[in-house]
Amino acid sequence: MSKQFEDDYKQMMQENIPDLWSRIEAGLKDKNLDNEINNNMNTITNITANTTNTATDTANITNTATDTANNATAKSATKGRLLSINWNKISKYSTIIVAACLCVAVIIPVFLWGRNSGTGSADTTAAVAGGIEESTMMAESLESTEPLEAEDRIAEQEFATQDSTAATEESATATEEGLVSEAPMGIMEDSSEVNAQTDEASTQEAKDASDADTGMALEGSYETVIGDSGQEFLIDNITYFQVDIKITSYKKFTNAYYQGEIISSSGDLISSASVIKLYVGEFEQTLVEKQTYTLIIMDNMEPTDSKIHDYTIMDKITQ
Amino acid sequence: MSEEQFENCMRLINQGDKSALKEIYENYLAYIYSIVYRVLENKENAEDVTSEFFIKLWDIADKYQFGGLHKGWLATIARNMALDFIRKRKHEQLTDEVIEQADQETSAVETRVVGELTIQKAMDVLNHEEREVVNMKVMGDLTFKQIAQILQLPMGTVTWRYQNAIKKLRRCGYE
Repeated sequence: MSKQFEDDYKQMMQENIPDLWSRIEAGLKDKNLDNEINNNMNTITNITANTTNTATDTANITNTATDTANNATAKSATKGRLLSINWNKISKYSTIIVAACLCVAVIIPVFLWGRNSGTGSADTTAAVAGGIEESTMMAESLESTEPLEAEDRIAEQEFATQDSTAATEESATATEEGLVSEAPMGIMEDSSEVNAQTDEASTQEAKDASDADTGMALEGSYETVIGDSGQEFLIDNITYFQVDIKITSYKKFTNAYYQGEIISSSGDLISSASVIKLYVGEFEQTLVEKQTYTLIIMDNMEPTDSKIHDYTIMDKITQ
Repeated sequence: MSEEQFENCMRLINQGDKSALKEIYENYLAYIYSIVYRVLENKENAEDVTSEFFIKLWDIADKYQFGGLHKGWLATIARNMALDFIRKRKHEQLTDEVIEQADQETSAVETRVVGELTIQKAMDVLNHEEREVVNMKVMGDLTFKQIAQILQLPMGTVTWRYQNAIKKLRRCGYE
């Protein structure tokens, strides 16, 4: 990459960047406050735990005291308590009892009166019967709606479970983002989709490029430079070589690559008999083990601890 | 910013020191913004996601694994946030349209006899994927292996894209 381009690009990016600090600062949570809240929460949890224990102890003591009291005290105190409880119960159910009484007082006399008064009573009987029918139908409909409601509830619960699962996944995602090598699952899927799409697009583009005049121009430039000097050549700090190489192995890991032994190369930077790694570019490039090829390769310029240097295959000239 | 400086800042952030975050912000705003912008291709959205990124960095500082390579870590989070933004807002179609349009413009520019173009126009010549690789190389000074890890692509693909980008830029006068 030319220095001029790098400088221009960095300058352009710096010029276009807005000041976002005020926005960011406004969105920051107070970590000290968070810590304080956490401490307080811990204290409250401890207090609650202690209180629970104390309450249990107190309950035990109370039980003992109650037993003692029951045994020791007279029935009068108990009577008073029983009375008050009865009244409470009565007042609680009094509305229902009154309503039932009213029903009995009104419906039964009407029914009996209608029965005694002949024809006129038919309507009333029918009305009463209709009322009974209606109530039966309502009861039936209630019965039929109950399972539906139950189903709805189950569906809601399932939905809630799904939500909580999704929430758990999201929280897991948030946690995973803290790691260098791991990315969020959803995002991984997305990005892999995007990558797959981009790969396809790139492959297509690469094929197009090799078909079109772009590929020809690339070959032309290799020939020209190598033809003039007979040495490796530099274009924008990328070093290309024309090499005769014997493929020794193919490793299919995340980054598939060939390993090969140099037979001869343009220039002195790659010595004969040295072993190199060859990564495959975006075009289809199948090399067969133990075969010898003439290739155009690019120095990846990767800092590596290994003695085996990395290159990318740019073009295959002959086999 | 060296690894040591960055780790110190992260320790201070864990203690609630906003000035440490500001130091990271000042050093890496351009880097993060450019990564996000290269994914979203939209200024306003890139600003939103970049802001959210630094807020998130503040929140997840305690999860940072010391002794790693922070630039790659930052780039991974920023890029994932940008992709997540696309997913949430369901702007894929819109973005694709923008990219497609940009690519069409690219080929139009390419076929012209190119004189000396501005840097912006030169970048327009590159396609979306090439821009992303070039941006990470220039702004983050990342190695091809790191870029391949972040983009989850084979290294050959990354170097190929970079090479193609350089070829195109040469035609725009960037020798």
